[in-house]
Amino acid sequence: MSAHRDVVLRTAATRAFEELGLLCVRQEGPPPRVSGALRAGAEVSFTGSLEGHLILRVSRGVLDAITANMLGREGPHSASLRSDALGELANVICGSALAGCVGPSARLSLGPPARIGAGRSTEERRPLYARASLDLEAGRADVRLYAMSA
Amino acid sequence: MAVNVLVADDSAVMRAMMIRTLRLSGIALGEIHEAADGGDGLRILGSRSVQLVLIDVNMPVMDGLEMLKQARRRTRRKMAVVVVSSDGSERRAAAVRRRGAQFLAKPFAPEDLREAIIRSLGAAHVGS
Repeated sequence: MSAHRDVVLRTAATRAFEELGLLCVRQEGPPPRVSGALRAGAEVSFTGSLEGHLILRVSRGVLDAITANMLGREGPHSASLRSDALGELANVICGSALAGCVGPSARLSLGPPARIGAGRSTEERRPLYARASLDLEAGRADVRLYAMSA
Repeated sequence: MAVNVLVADDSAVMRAMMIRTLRLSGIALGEIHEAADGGDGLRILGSRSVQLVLIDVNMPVMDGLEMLKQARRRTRRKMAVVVVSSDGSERRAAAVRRRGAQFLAKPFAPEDLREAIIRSLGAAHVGS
């Protein structure tokens, strides 16, 4: 991991949550606010000059809020729509973060987002490349990028 | 004249977002069609009169770039196209522009999508 890559990932995630999920991200600084366990998750795999996967986990409040904001209507929403919204955010964060880490001319291919169920661990397949935790108005989110050069 | 639109994206949530942006854009809209993959999108383009197409690159069955390539080959109708992608690389953007379409990297604000649509369609279709 490097501090620069962590900043790139945090910037990509912040922009995605704010512009796509329409949620404000609180700026870093003590004291950290903890609100809600990280329950829902999505994973995006990628290949190219870097190979690996990104994992996004959010608390339930964030999941409900991004689904409602992206659809433009209040819930309750189906599990399928919530998973769709989270997967799309993960996909966008992954694309932006990789472009920031390896440059806009790099050749990369992103796979479709997949839901991560409870108990499934995918996090040891590659070394941890970057990490960011976000404190959002509706809860919290954790993003981890696992990658190595192809 | 009202513009018939096709929104092709495998994410139902993203289709809903793009359609909402279209409805708020001031563009006179006619029919709005949705496709969840490139194959569905091509079938709709083959059977309907569509003047504006919004395409996501990453779709199953047939990706957005292939759909755009085949659509340009199959139809002689003039179509405004905006391609959106999570991969905002220069390579991807250049490939889209070579096919005569506007490119927009995600995440985008609603006004960014509106501007790309207006550039693609021309301002004549947009009200105040």
